[in-house]
Amino acid sequence: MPTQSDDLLWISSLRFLLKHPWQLALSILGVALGVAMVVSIDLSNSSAQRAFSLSAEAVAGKATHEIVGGGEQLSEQVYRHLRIDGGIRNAAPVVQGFGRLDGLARSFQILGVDPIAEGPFRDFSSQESGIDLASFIQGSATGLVSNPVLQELALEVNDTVGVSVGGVVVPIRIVGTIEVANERTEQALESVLVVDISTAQRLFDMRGDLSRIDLILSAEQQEQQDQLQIIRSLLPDGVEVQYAGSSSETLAQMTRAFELNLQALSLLALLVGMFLIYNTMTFSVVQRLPLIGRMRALGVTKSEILAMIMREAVLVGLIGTMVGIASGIALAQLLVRLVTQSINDLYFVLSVQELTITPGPILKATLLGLGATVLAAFWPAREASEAQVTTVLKRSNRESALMKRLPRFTGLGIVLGLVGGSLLLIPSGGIVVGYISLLLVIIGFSLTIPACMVGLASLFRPVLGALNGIIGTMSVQGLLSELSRTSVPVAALVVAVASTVGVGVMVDSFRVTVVSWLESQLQADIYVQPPSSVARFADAELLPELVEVLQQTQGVERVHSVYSETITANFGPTNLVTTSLGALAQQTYEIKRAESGFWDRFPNQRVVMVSEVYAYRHSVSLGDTIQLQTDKGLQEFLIEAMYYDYASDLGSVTMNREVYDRFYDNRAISGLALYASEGTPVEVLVERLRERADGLQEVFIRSNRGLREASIEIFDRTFTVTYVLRLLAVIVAFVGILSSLMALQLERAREHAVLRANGMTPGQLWNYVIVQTGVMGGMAGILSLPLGVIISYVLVYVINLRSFGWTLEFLVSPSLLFQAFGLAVLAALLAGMYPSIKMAQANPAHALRSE
Amino acid sequence: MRNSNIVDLRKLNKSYDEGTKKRHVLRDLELEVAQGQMLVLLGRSGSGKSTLLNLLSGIDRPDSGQVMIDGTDISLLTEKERTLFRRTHIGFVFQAFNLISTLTAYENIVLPLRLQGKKDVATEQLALHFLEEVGLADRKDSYPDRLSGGEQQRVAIARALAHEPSFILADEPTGNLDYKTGSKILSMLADLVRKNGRTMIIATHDREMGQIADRVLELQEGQLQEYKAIQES
Amino acid sequence: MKLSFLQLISIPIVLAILFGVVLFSETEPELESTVSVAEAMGGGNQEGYLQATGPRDFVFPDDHGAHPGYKTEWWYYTGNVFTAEGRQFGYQFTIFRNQLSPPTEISTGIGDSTETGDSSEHETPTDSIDPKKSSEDDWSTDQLYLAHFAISDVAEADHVFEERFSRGAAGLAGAEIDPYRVWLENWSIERLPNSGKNDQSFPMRLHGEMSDGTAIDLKLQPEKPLIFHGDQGYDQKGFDSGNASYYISFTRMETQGEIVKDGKVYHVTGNSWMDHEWSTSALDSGQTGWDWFSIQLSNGYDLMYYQIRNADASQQPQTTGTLVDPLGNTIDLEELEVMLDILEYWQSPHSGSRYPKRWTLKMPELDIYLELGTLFDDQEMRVSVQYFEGNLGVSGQMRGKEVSGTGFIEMTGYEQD
Repeated sequence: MPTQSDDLLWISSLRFLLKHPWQLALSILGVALGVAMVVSIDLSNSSAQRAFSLSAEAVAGKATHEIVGGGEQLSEQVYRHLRIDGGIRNAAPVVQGFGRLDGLARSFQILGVDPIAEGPFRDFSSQESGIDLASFIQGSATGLVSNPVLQELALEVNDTVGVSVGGVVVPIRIVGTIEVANERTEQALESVLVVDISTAQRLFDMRGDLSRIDLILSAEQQEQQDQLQIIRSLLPDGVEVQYAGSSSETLAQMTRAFELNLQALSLLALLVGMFLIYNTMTFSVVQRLPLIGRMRALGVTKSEILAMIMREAVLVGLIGTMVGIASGIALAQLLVRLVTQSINDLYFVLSVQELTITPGPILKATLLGLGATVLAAFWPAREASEAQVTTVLKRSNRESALMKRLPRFTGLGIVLGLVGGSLLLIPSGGIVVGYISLLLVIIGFSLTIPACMVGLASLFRPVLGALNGIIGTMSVQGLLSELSRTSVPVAALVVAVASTVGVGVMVDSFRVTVVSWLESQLQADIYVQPPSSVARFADAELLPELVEVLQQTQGVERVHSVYSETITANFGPTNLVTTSLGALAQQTYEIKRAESGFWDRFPNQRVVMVSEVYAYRHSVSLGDTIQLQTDKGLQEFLIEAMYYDYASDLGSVTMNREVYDRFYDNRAISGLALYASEGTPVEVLVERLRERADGLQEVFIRSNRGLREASIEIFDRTFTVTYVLRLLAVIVAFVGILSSLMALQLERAREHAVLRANGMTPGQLWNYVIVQTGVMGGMAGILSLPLGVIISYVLVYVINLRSFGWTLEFLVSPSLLFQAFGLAVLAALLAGMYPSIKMAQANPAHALRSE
Repeated sequence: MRNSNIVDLRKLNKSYDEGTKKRHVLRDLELEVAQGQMLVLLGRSGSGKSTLLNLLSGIDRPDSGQVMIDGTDISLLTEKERTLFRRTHIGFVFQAFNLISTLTAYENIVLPLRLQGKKDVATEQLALHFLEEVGLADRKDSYPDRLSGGEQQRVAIARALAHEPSFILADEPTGNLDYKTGSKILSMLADLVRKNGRTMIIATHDREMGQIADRVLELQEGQLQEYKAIQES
Repeated sequence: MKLSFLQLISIPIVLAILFGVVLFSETEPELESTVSVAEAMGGGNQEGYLQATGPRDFVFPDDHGAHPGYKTEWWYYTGNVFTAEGRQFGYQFTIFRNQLSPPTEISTGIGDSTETGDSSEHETPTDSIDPKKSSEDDWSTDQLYLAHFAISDVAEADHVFEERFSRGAAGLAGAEIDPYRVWLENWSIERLPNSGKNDQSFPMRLHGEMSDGTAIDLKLQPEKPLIFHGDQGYDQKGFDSGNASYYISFTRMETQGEIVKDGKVYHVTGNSWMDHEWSTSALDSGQTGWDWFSIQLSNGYDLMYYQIRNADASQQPQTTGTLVDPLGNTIDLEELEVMLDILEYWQSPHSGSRYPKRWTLKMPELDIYLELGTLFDDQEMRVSVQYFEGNLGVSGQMRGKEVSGTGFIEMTGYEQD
């Protein structure tokens, strides 16, 4: 209602807010914390995505299509055939892989190209851009990096840098730099090392093979179809043409569930933030009800009052959002590293050097922050506009109203909870539906909190009465007589603490499951692996002579090998694990379901087993067939067993080596498991093996226990980002409790003054306030436990399953629950501290006189 | 003529629910107040004085009957219309002063004017003028909590007069003040009201106040009884 | 405290908008980059390369193949062919070999500097795993191949050309001897099976297709034996020792096949000429380029003649020429008087270079007087090097008889500064 009176009403608002800086600061903090979480997660995710798409764009160049082989490799014969017999010109061979540059703590994409063919594809690696062919293509291990990378390395052109690939270090002479034209290019090339194709083939031990062939086909549909037809006719079995983006798209899709989960966690924080805003805005309104009543008497309309409070909310929302965005950006600097680390451990190599601040997340956070504030402030504002015009405020009206509405409130809560619960039962519901029902359950539960408090009060009252006499009873009664105001901070507290419980239980359950899975998975005594770029995959290979040497070490009784590679299946890129165990695999693999007689067929027939995650992702089950691109063309295999596997959320397909060798020409090995002979201590054998491996290849040789510890370490690292988010949620919860309870007590200054005036000593008042907040903390702590368990149950059995397809053991550790309860009570007690000290010191007359 | 009356109440009824039974506060109450009259309304606590004032100011609505103020039956208006009506037609002086604690003395006086949409220099001068009239020109930038009770009530009086209302409602204007200050404030109020030709209704339990009034009425059993009639001049 | 709500709110809003503008205005630029490379290994440096310093014993078929160690080498095919209706086309089809660095032992650096302690190169581990390994599988090379292919459509006065590159490795480009095959991807000249056992004049197929569809597919049959220019194939070009090349030719090859231009297929017959020449450096400092003629006369004689131009026009040009009689006997023109006079020039609208377009060529001792002219002006090759390669019309007298003929003129070193 913009009238001329705006100014004075607004000035009045502003003075009120500034007169209560604590409350203002707490409201702003509530918004800021929520927004900061959302912004930081969003920015980390989008930075990771951008880094990924930029480097994908850089290495894909202007290619429209690419030719890929059935396995990870493609014979270069295909390229020769295309060029010479097919006369296909817009084609460029690529050998690509990952490695590390000495002195830089990140993985580099090593892009092996033929500069002569590069022109139409990638300007930075083409002959036309000025690459000196003489030094580049002669196979003398030379490469190009971007200028900023060279500076980072503190090297000059013609210096040599050690490049480590799969445990082998190769010196590469930098013969030139890629001059980047803009920041985007700089970012795209910040982790790219360009080498000649011959150099790359040697680095990755891929002589005779390519990673892919890039193509540029006509944009015109018919022409493109014709070109495709010609090209396809030139390709051998198992080799395919696909859109250039499709493999990087698939890669990006892998992380979608992971990112969605992080986002959901950050939204949970915003939800808690909303409770805080609602709470502080309510206080600020309630405190002013007499003032507002007077304004109403003077002729200020309801809508003017509503607008006044909403404007305050907008101001708080704006400041809070801005503070939140600023701190969110700061927080994102930390999170982006954790997110990247997790992606690197779980999915693919990604290096994010800097945070990219894009308008999207900022805009989203602004809308969310402002929206949440306005939404949360709407009810207090409406309440303010309903303030009685009479000069004397009778609060009991409102209280009796809530008491009267309590059954309705509780009923609504139960209904919402049930709706949420039944949504979970829809089996086809996606992750988003899962989160919506989780949200409904949380809101439903919070609506029942006033009723729960009434119930709990009847438990607390006699206990505290016995312990603390009349003050104990009064404390509990005080909560109920102002239920409409005490229930909000308690609800906020419950949601905040419960979400930390939920996430905590989820991670705990996950960890316990993985640990016990590792126990059964790791049957051999010693494991040998080359260092790989993605922690939870084996993507590097063992040198054959090393395998030979290790096998023939004294004290090794028997050995089995694994090989893992990404191949193309009818379901898309698939991690194919090959084991040489044959039927013995039944001792190591934890089978979820298997066809009868599976182990008789596994060693040498066309059967495979898939991990449950793989089965879930691609909705396959026993008896289905899977088509794999092999060196003998597309081949069908029967899925006859499903096993538990927590190593990757992308799932894998396992085949016996004997079968593999029939369809693939690749003889590589990416891991060895060794059994020590009777009487040889494992540690001694590990040492012996290390000595023998020395100088051949840098590999990890670890005992069973060592590998288990290393695996758990990687697991924990993957979840670091979750731990950090949980910690942040705890902080939000803590601040929330602190702020709302403190505000509540500060607001009761007058009541406390009356108590003091009536002869309560400062000590007794202190006792009264502390006990009261303590009771609220205790109630919140108790109520957060069931909600926390419900949340974790949903996270483990619905969200996790729908995101990743894992079956987890559900494990609620008592210590976690105690911790949550303790957190609630501790925060509540701390919150009582300041007001009670303040009150004890203050002159009661002053408080009585005011207003 | 009825129309010349500032206040014209007809057959006013108001009752409250108190648990299971109804309490009738006003029964067929009738009242006419002419332009420029000063009324004192007596009544014990719980006699329905505050109810009557709420009805007069449009804060509340009667169960039945007519509340004609300056030619408008405000019992027929919506909540919002009544608020806007109040803004322009009624000045308040409360027992508890009821200043807006977040506004200065001057701003408190300006607020009703601003609410009416007056923003010119004349408005400011008017406010300053009334602040001078109540003898607080030097305290114009003080917040209410820096003023004594008497000073606060003087600000409230200035506020009630400044926006030139149809009539002024004063609810126990001296109730929170000591006797001496109360008397001073009361005479200042009466003087200013008469000087500006305003109509005023003072609700009080203090019979002494009848001295300054043109008419004295007492609310008993939901009806008005007149003790002191208008003296023809 | 007279801040209105709007004033107050406007501060964060303005800040937010400014922030937003800054962010949004950052449009996504193209990924753009160039490469700056360490000092190239000195383009003119000839140290370490093999040099043509004197006559050599040619061995065939080996000498039809590549001569790594020499810096440059080319297989140069030109020809004039006609449709049955007499429509004339000229073609140039050349594959160049370019050695990028002196032929020293190149270490891959990979495999020998690792901590394996095994300096026996990568060969050892890979061979055992990779049965596919062959010489073709190695992409590393110091041989760069270039190819130039041009068609001169005389009727349309249209000259189309294209240049290609490839490394001389991985089977993408090279020169093989048994059987003879010189190729760059799908542009190639390869030996066809012939009934005769003459290894030095065998039939071959020449084919290639440009990006725009212009294509050539010809069968060539040498009609004269291999010609050795200069001193038995050793052709001194500069005065400095080593500024020379080895130079052999098939001066007349019966040609038939197809030319595809602008979507039309033309069946053609005519004569082709092949030069195979290798060297490390040909020109002295102070020499700027050459004008090189190959002429096939109607009386069965073939003539090769070139002049090397000096920057300083006062100096006598270095010339070489060979006259080949119908049976393949040669007369070296070294000691004979040859007068070449330019009658007219053409200035290229593309490069601004000014090329001669008509000449008179007189060899009084041999009683040969010829008038030569390009068949149309614009046959300039603008590829990684700029030069002129055009077909010639020839008329005149030889030993008192009227002769006519066809030929090609190549002019280099006319670039504008």
